[in-house]
Amino acid sequence: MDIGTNFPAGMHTRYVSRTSLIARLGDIPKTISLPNIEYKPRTSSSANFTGRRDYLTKLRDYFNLKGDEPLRRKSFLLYGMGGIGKTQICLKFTEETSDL
Amino acid sequence: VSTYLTDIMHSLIRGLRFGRIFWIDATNDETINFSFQTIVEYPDATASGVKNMASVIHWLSEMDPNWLLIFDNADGKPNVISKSFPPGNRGNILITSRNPEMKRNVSSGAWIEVEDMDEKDTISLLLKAAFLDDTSEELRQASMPIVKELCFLPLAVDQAGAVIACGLCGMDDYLQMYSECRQTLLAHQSFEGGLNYGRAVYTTWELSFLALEAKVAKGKSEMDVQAAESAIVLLQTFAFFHFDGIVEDLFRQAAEKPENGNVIQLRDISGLPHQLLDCKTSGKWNLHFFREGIWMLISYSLNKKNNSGVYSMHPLVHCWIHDRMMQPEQQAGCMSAKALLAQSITFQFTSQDYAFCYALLSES
Repeated sequence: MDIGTNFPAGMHTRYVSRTSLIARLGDIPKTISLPNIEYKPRTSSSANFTGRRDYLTKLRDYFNLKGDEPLRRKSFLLYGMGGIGKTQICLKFTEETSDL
Repeated sequence: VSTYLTDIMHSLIRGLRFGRIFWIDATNDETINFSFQTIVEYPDATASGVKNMASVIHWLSEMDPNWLLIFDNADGKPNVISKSFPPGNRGNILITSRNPEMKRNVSSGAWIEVEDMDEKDTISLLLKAAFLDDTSEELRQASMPIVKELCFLPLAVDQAGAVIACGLCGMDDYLQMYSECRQTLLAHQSFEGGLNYGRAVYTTWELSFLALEAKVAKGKSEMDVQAAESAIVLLQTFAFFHFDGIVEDLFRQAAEKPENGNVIQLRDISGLPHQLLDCKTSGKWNLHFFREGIWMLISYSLNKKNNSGVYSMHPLVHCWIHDRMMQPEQQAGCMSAKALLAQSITFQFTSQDYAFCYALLSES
């Protein structure tokens, strides 16, 4: 399949390399990379981390000890689909709340 | 005294601070155990005579309670992690999970569902991941259709940015490439974004599918095995319906009104007919298998309940389940879906039926 032919002539140099890249894509087996279920240590949050202030504020408010509150265990859950960014929010939160 | 005051000032300005943060990879029993083992090696833990997971848990329950214990990726059953909560009423715990049932481990209301990012932030994420100027109005405009196509899902957007950054395509032709090679772009590790996540978008959901298959192969109980079987058959049938209107009534009508005597059989992965459309002796549909399967899909965040009897799937999860099926499976799933539709639509239309058909409008 040469999808390069769909492009205007001036873009020729671009789609020569593009065609070879597409060819390389074709070499990749059409299977989904199998998940690696090894232990994953804590990493740092992504350099591209963006937004999510509302979630971070909610976490901060929940764990913040209010003056008149008795000391007790606090547990909180972030849930949602895979890929939605739960772990990233969690990492960002730990970075904002520790001195390390 | 002055250092004391500075400390107070500091904490007032900077707000919440945890003395210690412990990170547990809660994927399964092994990763939990391994995570606690790494804590054993902390100098102060060793100094306190901590030797194994049990003593780490005990150590935590006795130390200054300004700690935060994180259970990340706790996607299994709630009790997988609750058994390693330090005893007592002190300290802080934060859990991330795909399983809404995990709410059982926290007090009422102490949870939040993480949802898609807003448009503005998603566009910034795409441009940052692509190493492009995220303040350029022109580029932001060009990003709009891409982030829309990827449904504002951060992992998918980050991955798209990585594909653009490596020069495979530009902002202008990403969508064309996506329409031609969606599976490769979303499934392959080499297009992983900058998250250190180690998993491509499709791979992260594949993890849930593997868990379902493991349950079919060696579930803890007969019920577990059946629920996982139902979940897989439902998932493969849903791939052929519109992602936003999966209605329970469709199955009920197909089960209870087999016109011209055709009984539909949904087939599971091993090709065996499945009990999803079984009726009780009263002639009423036995929705037990359906509900159990749905419940299991919800516990992996592969499905969502919209309102009573209506379920939906994230559009990209819908793409994934469609793309992961091999040709024969696709044909079988498509046949089942068509048969279900044909069977459940009656000739005497009522307004309710119209609403019902509308909900079924499929994209494929």
